[in-house]
Amino acid sequence: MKKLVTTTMLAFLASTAVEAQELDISITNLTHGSHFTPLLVAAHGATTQLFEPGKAASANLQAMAEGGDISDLSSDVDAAGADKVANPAEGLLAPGASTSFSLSTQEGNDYLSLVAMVLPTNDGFVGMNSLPIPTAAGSYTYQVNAWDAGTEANDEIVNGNGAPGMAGIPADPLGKNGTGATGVATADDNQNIHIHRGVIGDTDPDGGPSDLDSRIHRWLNPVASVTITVK
Amino acid sequence: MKAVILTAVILGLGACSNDNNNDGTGDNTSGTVDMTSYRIELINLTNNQPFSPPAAMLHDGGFSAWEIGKPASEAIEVLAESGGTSKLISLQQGNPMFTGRGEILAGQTLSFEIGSSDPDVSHLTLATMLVNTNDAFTGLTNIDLKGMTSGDKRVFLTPAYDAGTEFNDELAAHVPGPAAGGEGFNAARDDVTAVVTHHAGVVSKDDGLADSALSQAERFDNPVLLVKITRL
Repeated sequence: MKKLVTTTMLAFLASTAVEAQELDISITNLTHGSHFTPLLVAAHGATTQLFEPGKAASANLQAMAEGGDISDLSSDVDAAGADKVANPAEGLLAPGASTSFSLSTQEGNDYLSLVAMVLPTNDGFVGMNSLPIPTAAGSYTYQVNAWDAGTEANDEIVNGNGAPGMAGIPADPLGKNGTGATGVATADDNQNIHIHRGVIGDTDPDGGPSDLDSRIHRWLNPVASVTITVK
Repeated sequence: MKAVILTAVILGLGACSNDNNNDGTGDNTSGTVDMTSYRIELINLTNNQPFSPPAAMLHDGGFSAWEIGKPASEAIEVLAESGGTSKLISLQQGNPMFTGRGEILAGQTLSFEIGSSDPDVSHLTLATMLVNTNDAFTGLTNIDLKGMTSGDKRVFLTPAYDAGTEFNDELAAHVPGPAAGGEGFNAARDDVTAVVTHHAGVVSKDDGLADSALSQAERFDNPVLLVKITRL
């Protein structure tokens, strides 16, 4: 067993791609009551990162995490020479739903990242950060976690506001949110990108601390499954 | 740079502790020359669970500091209830060690180096307490680093473990971190499950546990720690 692990690790370390690749990618929303806003999926070089755990979010990542807007982040990855697929699900990806697409990568774009806002949250997002893309033909599955951008208080108030820097949650696509909440939390203690602690919700549709429903809108990591097929 | 390393090595031979790169992050004990060294970066991924000053050590493959389904050692009990690392470190006396000087606050990164001149001493264990809990800890144990070559990187995302040594009452009297200020280590074992498991997270007073000292801010989901290991 120990030998096997070592061999696997060596193979993994030796697998950094240099040549162009054709990838089939499938992304599944594993949550029970949260949608993903349009996904941004990018293959890029070693020096590009869409986000970095333990560091402050960029303004363009913030726009994605607070309102689902990937337009500026998409321009960033273009400027970095990345190969990308933007919005493969052509809109929201519902709980349990999958989206499948192909991605052609250029030489040197050996790392895969993806992001999308988790809705309804204040600034939660599903994020895979710089996965070394395998090179040997085969199918590889990865589990992906939900992150907190650290840029907005998790007040759990659904008020239609998705603009960066503005408090509140844009919407609940399930239509199961309440109204009139007083707010769960003020600014994050950790204002760097960190693992989302989850939403808390309540069961009062007309008030209480949260506009989210504790029976519907919670999740546990991982929140997404990503399968990459290398041809 | 070379001069700094030599100084550290000399101090290490003298069996002293020293702050290797003199940056105030913690204390190393070093081996001899021809070291296989690693840079370890620890990133606290929680919202408001400071991590106690971590302990890290290199050892041979015959040591696991904890195991799911087995009762915690006294060393892990002390670490998970109070953050104390001396008992854990004493289990590998004489091997390369690192002990942090301060907590790793949520969102902060701690970086340090550890190395060994003995090719058999190639396994890493590191542990730290989530201090706003009764007995949650995280880390890695018995991770084989052999086979990494210079410049190689490995990344681990680690879950929160429950030591199974203290009931998760979340009372101010029993949670030692800044959210509560209660007791740390207590030798009594009163958990309903008396073995190491994954931690289920904290409930908090904001989720209906009225006498909890914790709020929604101290809640967490896995993973709680990101570990980056770079072979130097």
